[in-house]
Amino acid sequence: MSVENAPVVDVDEAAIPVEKKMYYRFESNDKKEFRVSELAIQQSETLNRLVEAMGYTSEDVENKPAIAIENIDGKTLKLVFQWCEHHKGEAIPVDDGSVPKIVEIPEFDAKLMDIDNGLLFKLIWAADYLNIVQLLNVSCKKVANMAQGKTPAQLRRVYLLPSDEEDEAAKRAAQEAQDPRAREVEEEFEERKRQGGNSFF
Amino acid sequence: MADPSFSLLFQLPNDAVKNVVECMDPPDIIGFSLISNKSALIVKSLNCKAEPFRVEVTSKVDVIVSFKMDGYYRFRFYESERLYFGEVSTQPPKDLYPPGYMKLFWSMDEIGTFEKKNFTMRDWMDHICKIFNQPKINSLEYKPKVFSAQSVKETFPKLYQLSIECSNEEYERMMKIFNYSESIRVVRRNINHNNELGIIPKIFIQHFERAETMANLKISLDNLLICNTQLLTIGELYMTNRGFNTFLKCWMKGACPNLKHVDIRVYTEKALDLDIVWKGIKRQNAPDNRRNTCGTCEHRDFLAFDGGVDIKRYDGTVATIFMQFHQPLRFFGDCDLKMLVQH
Repeated sequence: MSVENAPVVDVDEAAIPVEKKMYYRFESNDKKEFRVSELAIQQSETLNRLVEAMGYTSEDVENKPAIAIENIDGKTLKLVFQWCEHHKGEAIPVDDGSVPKIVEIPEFDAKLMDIDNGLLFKLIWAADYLNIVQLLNVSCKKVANMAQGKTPAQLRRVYLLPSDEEDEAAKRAAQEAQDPRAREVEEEFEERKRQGGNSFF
Repeated sequence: MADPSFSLLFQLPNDAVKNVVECMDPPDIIGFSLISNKSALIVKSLNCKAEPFRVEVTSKVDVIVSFKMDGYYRFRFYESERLYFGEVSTQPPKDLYPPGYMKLFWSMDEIGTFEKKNFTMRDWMDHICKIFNQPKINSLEYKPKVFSAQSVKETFPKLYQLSIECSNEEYERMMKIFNYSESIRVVRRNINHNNELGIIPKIFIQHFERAETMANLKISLDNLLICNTQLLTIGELYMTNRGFNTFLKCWMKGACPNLKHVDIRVYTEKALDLDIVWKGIKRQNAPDNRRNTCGTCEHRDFLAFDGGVDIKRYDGTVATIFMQFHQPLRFFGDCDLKMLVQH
C-alpha cells in the first residue's frame, strides 16, 4: 500500500466508512480531525488505553466531541495515523534490550519518513508520546542511520551536539539564571570551607 | 527530502535519544560515545555490560572487551609502534604516551579508527570502562618490548590477574611491578625450555586468590601439595593413579588448606584405575541431581557439576570430587578433576 493510499481520513474530506468497524475521531492541536480504525489504534499503547477507558459505543464516537490530542499538530498526526493504519494488526515488538537494536525500515515507512528534519523530530516526539513502539523504532533508526561511517567530529556536526565546554557553560548559565543568590551562597560556603570552617554559624 | 543531519537530537525525550543510539551500528555507537561526557553517559545508559576486560601490552596495547555469547571488541592502540615476530626495539622503554587514535575490531574484523588526540591511555581506559559498565580488568599480559613497566602500572592500577610467561626471570620482574595482582596465570610459550619450569613451586606457595597454568607445564605432585591458592586451574597435570590417591589423602590430612575450587586436566600414564585412586579413602557418593556450585565466591560459575563423591577433611570440611573421563583408553587416562571444597 502506498503512503498516499493509507486509509487515514480527514473528516471534512472523507465519507463515513461503510464497514461496521469502529472508527474513532481524534483532533490535533490545530483542530484537524481524523478518523482512525480501532485496530490501527492498537499500535498506540497510549491511545488504546485511552479509548478502552472511555468505553465509547459507535454512537458515542459520532455524537461526542473528537478526542483531543493537544500536543501534536495535524501534519504530524496525519503521518502517525497513516503509519498506524498501514501497520494495523501487526504484532508490537518487545524490546529485548539488545544493542545494537536490529530495526529494518520497510519501504512504506521510508517513504512516509521522507520528510524534513523538523517534521521527523515531531514524528519521533509523537511516537514517543503516543507510545507507538515500532514507529518510534523506525523513526529513531532513520536518525541513527545518519551516523553511519562518521567520525566523532562529524557526528558532532551531524547532530549538532555541544562539546563538554559548551555543556559546562550552558549549565553555569542556567544556574545563574535560575538563582543568582544561590550561587553567591555556594561561593561563600566554598570560601569558608577553604578557610577551615565548615559552617555558617 | 530529509537533510543528512539531525540537529535536534538532544531535544528529543530521553528514551528516544537512547533509542536512536541503540539503533546505531556498533562503530557508530563507539564514535558517538567519544563526542562528549554527555554522549558517553548516554551510551553507558544503554547498559551494555561487558565481561571484565583483558589487556595485552606488548609493542602495542590491546584492550579486549567481550560479551557472554556475542563476540568481542578489540581496542588497539599504538599500532605504529608494533613490532613483528623476531623484531626487537632498540629504543629505551617509553611511557604510554597519548596514543592519538584507536583502531576498533569486532572479533577479527577491523570496523573503525577513532582519533582522540587529547586522550591519554588512562583516559581511554576510563572511557571504555564507563561505556561498557565494567570497572574491572580481569587479566593483564605485559611484555616489556616498548613501554615502561611504571607507566603500564600507572595506567592499569587495578587488575585481577597477571598473565606471565613461565621463566623465573619474568616472574621476579613482574611480581616486583605488579605485586598488587590477586591472581596469576602462567603460560609457556616455548615448550623446549624445560629449565624455566622452576617457577611453579614459587607461584603455588604464594597466597594468590587464583593460580592458573596452561597446557605443557609439568607439575609434580609435590608442587601440587604445597599449593596455597584458593582457586586452582591446571591445564595439564601428569599423575599416577597412586599419586592421585596420595593427593586426596594428603588433602584430607590438611594439605592445601586454602583450596576452594580445583579444576585440573589430569593425565595418568596408565588407564585411570578408580580402585587405586580411592583406595583407603572414606567417601560417600553425592546424589546425582545435586548441583555443586559455589554460592559465596565471585567466581560462582567457575565450577559447576552435578553429583560427584564427597570426602571429608580431618576438621570436618567436606569436598566434592568429580571426575569426567575424556579418553578412557587402555594405556593412559585423561580426565577432568573438579573439586569443590565447602566453605
